[in-house]
Amino acid sequence: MNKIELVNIAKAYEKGTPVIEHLNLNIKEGSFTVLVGPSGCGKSTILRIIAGLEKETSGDVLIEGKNVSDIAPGDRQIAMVFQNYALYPTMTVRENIEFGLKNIKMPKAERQAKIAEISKLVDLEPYLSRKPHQLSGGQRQRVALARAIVKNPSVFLMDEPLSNLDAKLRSQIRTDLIELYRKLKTTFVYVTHDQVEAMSMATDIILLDKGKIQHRGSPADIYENPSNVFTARFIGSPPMNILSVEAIDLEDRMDKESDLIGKEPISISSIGPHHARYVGFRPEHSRIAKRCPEMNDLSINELFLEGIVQSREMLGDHVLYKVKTKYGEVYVKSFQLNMVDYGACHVVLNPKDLMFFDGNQNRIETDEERCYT
Amino acid sequence: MAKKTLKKIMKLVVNTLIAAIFIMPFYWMFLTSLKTLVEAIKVPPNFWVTVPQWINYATAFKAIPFLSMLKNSIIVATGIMICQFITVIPAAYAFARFQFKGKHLIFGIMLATMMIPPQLIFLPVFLMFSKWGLINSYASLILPFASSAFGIFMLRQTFMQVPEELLEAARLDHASEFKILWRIMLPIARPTVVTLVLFSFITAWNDYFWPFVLTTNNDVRTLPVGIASLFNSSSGVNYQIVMAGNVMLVAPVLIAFFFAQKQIIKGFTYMGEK
Amino acid sequence: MMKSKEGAVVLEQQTGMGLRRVSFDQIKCKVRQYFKQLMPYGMVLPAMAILGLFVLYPIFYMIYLSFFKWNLIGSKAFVGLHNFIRLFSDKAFWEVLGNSFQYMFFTVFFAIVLAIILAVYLKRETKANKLLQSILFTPHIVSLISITFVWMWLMDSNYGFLNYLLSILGLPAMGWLTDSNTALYSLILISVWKSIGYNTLILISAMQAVPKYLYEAASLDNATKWTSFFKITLPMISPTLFFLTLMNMIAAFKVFEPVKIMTQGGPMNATNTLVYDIYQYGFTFYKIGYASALGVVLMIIIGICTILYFAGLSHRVHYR
Repeated sequence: MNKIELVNIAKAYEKGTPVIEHLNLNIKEGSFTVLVGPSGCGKSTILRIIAGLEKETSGDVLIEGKNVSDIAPGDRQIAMVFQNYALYPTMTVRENIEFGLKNIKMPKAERQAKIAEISKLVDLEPYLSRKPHQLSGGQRQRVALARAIVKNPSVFLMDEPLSNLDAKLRSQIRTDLIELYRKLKTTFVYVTHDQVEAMSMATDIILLDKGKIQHRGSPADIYENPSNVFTARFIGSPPMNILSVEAIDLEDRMDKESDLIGKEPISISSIGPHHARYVGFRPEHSRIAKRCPEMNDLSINELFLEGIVQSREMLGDHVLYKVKTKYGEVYVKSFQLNMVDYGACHVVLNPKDLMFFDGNQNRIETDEERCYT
Repeated sequence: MAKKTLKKIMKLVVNTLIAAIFIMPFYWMFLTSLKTLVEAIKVPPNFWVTVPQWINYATAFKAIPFLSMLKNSIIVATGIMICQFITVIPAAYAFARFQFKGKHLIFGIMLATMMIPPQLIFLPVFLMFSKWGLINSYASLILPFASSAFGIFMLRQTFMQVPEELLEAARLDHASEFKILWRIMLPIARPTVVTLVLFSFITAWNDYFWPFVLTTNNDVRTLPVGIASLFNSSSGVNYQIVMAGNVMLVAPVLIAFFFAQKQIIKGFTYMGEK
Repeated sequence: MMKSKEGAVVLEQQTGMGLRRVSFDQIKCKVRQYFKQLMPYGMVLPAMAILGLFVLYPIFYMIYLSFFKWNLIGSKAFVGLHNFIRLFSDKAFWEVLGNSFQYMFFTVFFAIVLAIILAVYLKRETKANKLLQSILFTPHIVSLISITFVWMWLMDSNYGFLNYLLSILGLPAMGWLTDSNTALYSLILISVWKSIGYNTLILISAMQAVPKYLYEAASLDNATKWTSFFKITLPMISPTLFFLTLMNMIAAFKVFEPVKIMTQGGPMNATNTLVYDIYQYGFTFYKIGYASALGVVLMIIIGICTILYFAGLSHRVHYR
């Protein structure tokens, strides 16, 4: 069942180009939906339209099937966590949490009980009488969460809530949020520019660019089956290597010798569909090999690409190489921890890991053509 | 070493000299207020008094309707403060937080009024009040200062620094616009409001010019006008009485300055630091 | 429609009723929208009404009055530019204008130059400097009327402290306020004394706002203290200097209390300034039209200063 539906939403500000045009989007009941995309893709605008903080230029917003376009933000049964937490600086933690309850004239006893319950849930009990400026970043974050939870909303909206925290705290609160989501069993709508956050927490990812949905699906789906070049390049760290097929073809013809070869030289266009314009592979689906000694190790279907190691980063469980090839720079994530020297090398690929994209940068699904035999 | 010590001594001398230039007149005022007439005009003068003449204060107190003028001063300063509270806060909030047609024009006009000193327009304003029959009324002393372009400007800056998210969070928390202003914006702006209150109170307390030109009798005249009349009423040089009056006028401000130095300086220097 | 009038009426009522029920929410919404649109105007209205009535309107009223001859008792007589013609042909007016400008120039010059020196001297944040800053600032928050009396007493030609100081230094006593050669300068001295603390504090905060790395870079470039003052400090604080100049100018042009109390414009008109002149013509001679014309002149002077300030600000001055 759809919790939130956006129907034909458009948003334009007085000056400049429209941010969103004709967007249709639905968010499932009980899902942890992450809106992710580069800055300026319209993700925050969408969240704010759902919250009612910004008015859509046209279209309808439906929450539980009811059009809420004319309903004030406070009456939409939602709670929001802001990027900078937006805690009321002159109120104590308790008053911050209480403010929304007081405004709906909840009786005092009930308020007290709720605050006690929530502050236990998010570990804020010792800090209730402090002011926000006396708290650490993580504690402020928890106050913001508590303030949202206490209202018992049917939807949680979160606008980059982790971006003001340092890396360590961020990953900790990420797991906290997952636990919280499982405990509360309500709908979460979460906005971020960080694909790691999206991948780690979401049940549903909606990837946006320039106000349009580029891909939507589960984290596994978006990783394994990116529907276009943008998605492929956005998800994964480092993202997918994308090379232009035409460039490789051209080189082939001139050199009469392919760099992407198996047992015998082959053109990349010959293994992909005929209308493929781009080929991509994930750094973690490639290997790195020194030229000569390991040539024989190639299994039958494997291809390789000549290159020069530009940089290497030892990251503990893997080594990340940046390799310069004739067709552009590619990243290789190698789990072989003894590092390959700088200089000439080969990037080894399995053809089944290659993904092809057409001239519009859309994915070409080619199960039968994908394998090279 | 020697050079360093010399520098230190030099600095001390210069500091003392600067301090003396700015403290001496106040000290002289206080000292004179405790002298007898003979002591006051003695040449060379004494730098202290053996028997303080507190009677000078009583004389000054009796020479003018001191209490009623003090009352007037307090009424006028408080009245101005309350009126400014009512006019400045909503205007500053509107300029800071709402978009409306003509906002920039209205704001520009408001800023322009800051450049117009009362000394330029006292004559037409006097004529307006006399036409309304309001000369010698509190209204003529309060109403012209019932709003403050400076106050609106300063408070608007403060309001504008409040992040938008805070207001949005409040709206999601079911707060009305009034509640947002009262419970969130004003508490945040409290230091600014305190500064403004001190500024407008001190300015009103000190003002001689306006009550002097807008009144013709002592009914609503404030303390500065009364203190000035000490000079006129005293025949010959009765500086010890005049100084006693002045000490009474200056002391509250100096005491306030001692306790709320930071806010007062901020209030008076705000425009220059923008 | 024509056939049954009654039917139509009934129908109208019915739809009327129905309509009302249906659109009640809409009406509420509309009303709220209107309210929302009008609210900002309502919020600025009280303030703008006060400022309009007691600052803007009087300006126009004053301009209007400057074209009339009026002694408060009789009726106003329109005289066109006659007041201005008389003004400009009056030697006393030019004297007053000269005094005002002289007063303004020297006050602004000394109040700012001395403040720059003091600001450089006091800008480091030490306890002693902070104390001195507060002491310096005190005259600014004290009633001008008190300061006037204190200085009048200090400058008394017979028993004044200043003449006593001169006698210690072996210098002859001065007339200060009673000598037409020194009276205006005595007033300037008081004004500088009163405003220097304000200027110093504002310049100090402007100087402290200059990023430290600029000085560090300059010292790496072997700049002397003088060069870094003239090439870094002064340009960086120029907006503040510019602003202070304007503020001090307006403050100087509006001087009244010292003139009224200490000299009454004398001796021999040596200290008569514009505001005191307006007061004299308006409140002593009841020449409202003439006084208003003087007011218009003062307004134009302040206006020109302000316009020059904003024009200068828009291109000459360095921005942070």
